[in-house]
Amino acid sequence: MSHAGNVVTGPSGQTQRLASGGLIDRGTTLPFRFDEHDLAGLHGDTLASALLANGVRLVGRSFKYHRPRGIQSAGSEEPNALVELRDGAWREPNTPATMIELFAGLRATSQNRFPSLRFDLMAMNGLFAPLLKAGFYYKTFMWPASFWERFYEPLIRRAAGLGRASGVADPDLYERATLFCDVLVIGAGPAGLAAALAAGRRGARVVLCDEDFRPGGRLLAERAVVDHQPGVAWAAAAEAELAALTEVRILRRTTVFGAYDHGTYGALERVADHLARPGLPHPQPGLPPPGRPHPGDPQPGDPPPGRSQSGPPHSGPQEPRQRCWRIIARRAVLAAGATERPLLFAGNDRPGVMLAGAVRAYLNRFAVAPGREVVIATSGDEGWRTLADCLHHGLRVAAVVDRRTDVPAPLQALAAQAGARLFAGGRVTSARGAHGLHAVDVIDASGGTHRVGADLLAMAGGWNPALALSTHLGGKPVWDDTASAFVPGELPQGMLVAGAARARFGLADALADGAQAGANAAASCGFDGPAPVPPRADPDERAASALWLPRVAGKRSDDFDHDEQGNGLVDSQYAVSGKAFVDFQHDVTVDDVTIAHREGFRSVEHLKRYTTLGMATDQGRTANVTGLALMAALTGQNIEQTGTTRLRPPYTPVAIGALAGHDRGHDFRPTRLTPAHGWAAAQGAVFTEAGAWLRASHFARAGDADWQQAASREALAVRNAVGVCDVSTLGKIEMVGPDCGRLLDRLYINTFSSLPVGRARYGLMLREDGLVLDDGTVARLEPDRFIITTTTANAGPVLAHMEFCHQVLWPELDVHFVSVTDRWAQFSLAGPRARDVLAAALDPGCDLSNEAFPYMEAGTASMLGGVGVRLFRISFSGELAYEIAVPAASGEAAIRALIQAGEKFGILPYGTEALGCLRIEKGHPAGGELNGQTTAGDLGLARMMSKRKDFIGRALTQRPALLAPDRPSLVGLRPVDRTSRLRSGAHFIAPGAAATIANDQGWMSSVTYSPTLGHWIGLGFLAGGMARLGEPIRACDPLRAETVELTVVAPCHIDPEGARLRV
Amino acid sequence: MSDTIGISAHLRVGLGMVSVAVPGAVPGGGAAVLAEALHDHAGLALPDPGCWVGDDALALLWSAPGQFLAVGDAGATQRLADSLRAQARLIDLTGARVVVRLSGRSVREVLARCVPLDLHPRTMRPGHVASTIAAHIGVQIWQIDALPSYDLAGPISYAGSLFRALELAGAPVVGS
Repeated sequence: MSHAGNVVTGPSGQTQRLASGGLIDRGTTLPFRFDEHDLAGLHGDTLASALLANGVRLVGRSFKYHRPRGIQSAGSEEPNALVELRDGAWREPNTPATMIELFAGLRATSQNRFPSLRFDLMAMNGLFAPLLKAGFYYKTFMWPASFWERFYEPLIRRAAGLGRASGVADPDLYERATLFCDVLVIGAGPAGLAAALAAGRRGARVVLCDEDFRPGGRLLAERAVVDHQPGVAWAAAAEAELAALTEVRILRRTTVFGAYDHGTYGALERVADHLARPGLPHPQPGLPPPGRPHPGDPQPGDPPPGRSQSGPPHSGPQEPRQRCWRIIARRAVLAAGATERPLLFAGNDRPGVMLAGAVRAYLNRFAVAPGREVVIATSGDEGWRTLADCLHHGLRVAAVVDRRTDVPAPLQALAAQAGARLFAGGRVTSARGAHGLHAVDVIDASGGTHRVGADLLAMAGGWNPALALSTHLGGKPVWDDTASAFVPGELPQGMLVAGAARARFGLADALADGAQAGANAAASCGFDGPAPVPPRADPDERAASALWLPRVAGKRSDDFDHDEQGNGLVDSQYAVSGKAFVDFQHDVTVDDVTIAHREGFRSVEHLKRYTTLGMATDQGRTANVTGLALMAALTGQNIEQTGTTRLRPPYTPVAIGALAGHDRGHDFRPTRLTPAHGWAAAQGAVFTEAGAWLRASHFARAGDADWQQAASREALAVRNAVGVCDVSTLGKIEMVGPDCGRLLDRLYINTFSSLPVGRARYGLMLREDGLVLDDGTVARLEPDRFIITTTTANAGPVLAHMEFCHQVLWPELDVHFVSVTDRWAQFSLAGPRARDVLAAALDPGCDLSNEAFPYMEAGTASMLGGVGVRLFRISFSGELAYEIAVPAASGEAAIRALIQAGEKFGILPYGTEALGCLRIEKGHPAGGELNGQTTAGDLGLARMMSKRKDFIGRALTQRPALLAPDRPSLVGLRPVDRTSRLRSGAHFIAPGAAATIANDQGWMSSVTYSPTLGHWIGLGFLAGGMARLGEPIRACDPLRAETVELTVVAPCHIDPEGARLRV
Repeated sequence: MSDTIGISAHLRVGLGMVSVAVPGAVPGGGAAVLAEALHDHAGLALPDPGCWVGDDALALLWSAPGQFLAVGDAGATQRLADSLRAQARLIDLTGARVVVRLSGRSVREVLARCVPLDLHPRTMRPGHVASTIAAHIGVQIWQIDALPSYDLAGPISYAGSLFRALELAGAPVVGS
């Protein structure tokens, strides 16, 4: 069985590479760099296996104590070997070396060390370890309190943390996509492959995800036989069969990170992380590359080191770095396998101390010997598999330390055959060696101590099912005494669990379980078929053992004696002295758990927060169960009673960029543009966001001192000549049917059923609670056809409100309405010369005289040589004004025609700033007044409320508080000193009163500089309102420390009689 | 865009659009009258929920209970509106929406990046229509043929963002 001499004959530099075997391509050498070392690995390696092949054992420093750390695992649970990848803007911290697929030119850096990995100044933290125990910052940094912000917090922040973020915008591309399937299989190990085959063969749509770059799971790491062939070959054949099924999709390098409601799963596909450069070639033949990055996106000047070393800077279409999948599955089979448990002994974090299953993975899959002289520590049968594999690959096993006193005879014989010392009933007390293991201290069953030389310690503490996804929707794991592990409890709807994920650890068992789960999942989606024939494997039931559990021998915690150092609590028979780590990534030791217990933090949730157990990026995958088992032992409860903390998505870390996908920079959210947007942009419009819309705020001209100068110019043009404003963004709802009037009467406070055809009317809509929802105009175009306008901001809510009223409250009304906002470009033409301009712009033959087309008239006309338009003589500015609705496709032509027609009259386009100025001058309410807190009465529109009909909101407008006489209502404000600037948001305080909340009398809602009046004016809500005309009041702005003396005036500052409207 | 990369995306231009609703209360009668008039004037049946009928020249899409969207040549939709004046509630939407014809063997892969809908042929087939979102924009999508080809319609004001989303998804729109 032994292949002596297999070790240390690998390619140059790869001193630990085995001469044969492994799922690696010995013909493809991949150069890479770790810190300052240029190394080489092989295709098929992970960074971890390549480092081990090169004899690199020291990979990083720990979080708190800066302890030297190596590689503990071979999977995504790795808590120790976390590295920074790439650099510059591409730098990303905390990637487990075990999850990094090696590529040529990879650059990785060890973290958490200064100045170097081997000599780290912060390792002195270890000397201060007593100060850094559980809860240390709650205690140490308590006093004096004033030191916290200035001194302690910056100090802690500098010292704590793992790795460094790049600190600049993520330069990579990401995308999101949606995937539907009948059966989602999570994990492509033996159970997952069997499940996918069973479901796929029945014709179900199957998605099979695995976080590894090669399907097979533990089959890749073990020397197993399935269906009379090596497990690796069976996995490859299974993959090939699945790939040939048209309804099966295999997603490699894809971690299902979260389970969500209704069969929705989040999955992260690492599309290009294994490539030196992102993008090219696309993994799915025939699929076009996605678009280029937006020109406005941050583009770093320098090409990314690591990705661009092997070629010129990349340009053109790119593949995303990662793709975030939203998978909607009718059924899911969780076959995520299991994670091996470390054992507790001093120095269990030394480089060279490794999980026993990981040792087998490095030997069998990567053909790497993680050591030469091995000690195996096991709590049951499991570690003996590692013994067999070590012997198979020619490693020397110095000793096997089995916690069981009754080691089965065949295993005893195996130890003897291997020449390994057997410590039955013994245990490891300490692993020795600072930067790498060189000896293991063992205590035997009779208490004798032994020191065994070794550079590799394989620990087998049993397995924890990887059940995180089963708990994301609230399911609690349950303790299975037989398996000595937590297994999934109540499952998310549609989820089945198979294989090791529910403690079916034996291979034959897992295969059969997976096949059955796959068949069941398919059947519940309607895909029936013959019962699946599970792949055959030799039964390999391994006795689970509870001996990994920490024990407090013979004592209840409360009467347990502990020494001053907190040592000795665990297993009094074999005191742990020195640091025995429970949570490796967060440096939580056995001592920390005992301190938490001693200080009363005994609930697992308290334990977690007090010690930070399980709160690192690995979510305590190797730590949680051990930690709570320890607490169970300390409290004398069983594990079930002790319970578990809640696991939350994501299962493994997910870059924010992947969650954002394309929604970043200019693409953060969609933008709405009016039909005349391009024209406005060409006129120098400066745009402002109004919801999703971009609206011209003003049209800047060379020489303008500021935006206000432009806005004043535009407003004066409207008052003195003519201006034109794009109001296409206002919501427009067209309504047809015989019951339009009836519905409108119920929606608005005033009456519309009586509106004559060809007329428009201003209307106000309330919410059910009596507060104002929106305002706008309604025009009757035909007896049964109305057009309703809303404010830009409320177009959506008003339509939803109307749909609710029609569909739910009054479905008997015969009306049909849809949004026609996008159908029409609409322009407000305002000013004394508006009629002249419109007459020139319309096709000949339209009588616009005041008699033929008076104020508030609505009608149709044509322009641009036959394009039908709608005309409304309505005004927001207080001037003679028309709104012209033009089919969207003709919008740009129409604005050009209006400008051309208006040139000789001095027309100017005006934006939202001038619009706001004009409406404040007229006292018209808008956003600042329609803020969801005001009533019709507050706006001075109480008399608009019809008393002859019911309408939405009527009843609740009668609430006493809404009718209170001192309720603030709309007034106009002018500064006493006409040079004073007004500020919206300022509060009204009576002269002489202190500026306190108790003296608050209202607030300023809108202000503008009025170029017509030559000073600032405002609108506001003042207690007592219009009864206080002429009174002095002060506007206090404590944020700016300003106070302005005001006079209360009517809201309408210009032309209160409305004479200019009707000319 | 040539079909060598598996997808083409073309803007459909010159389209007329009319919202057609069954007269009467909701839910209510009138559907039979409208169906008969539709059959007489256009030779079309009233589409079932989630379905559309017709062809490129004139299609009628189910949009909501009792509501349909006629899409086609501007002349055809105008004639349809004229002929149904007595039997339907009609609102002209010509120009309100942009319509993109996506076609080719990679269309589903591309659309998976912007439309959260199951477009698999077991779920959606030619003759089906759905309302959904694409890149946060409300859209209607209907399947034309089994190539597959789809028409995607969204508000014209969002056209730029919709085209951008399609470009990022791998289908730059020709004619935009």
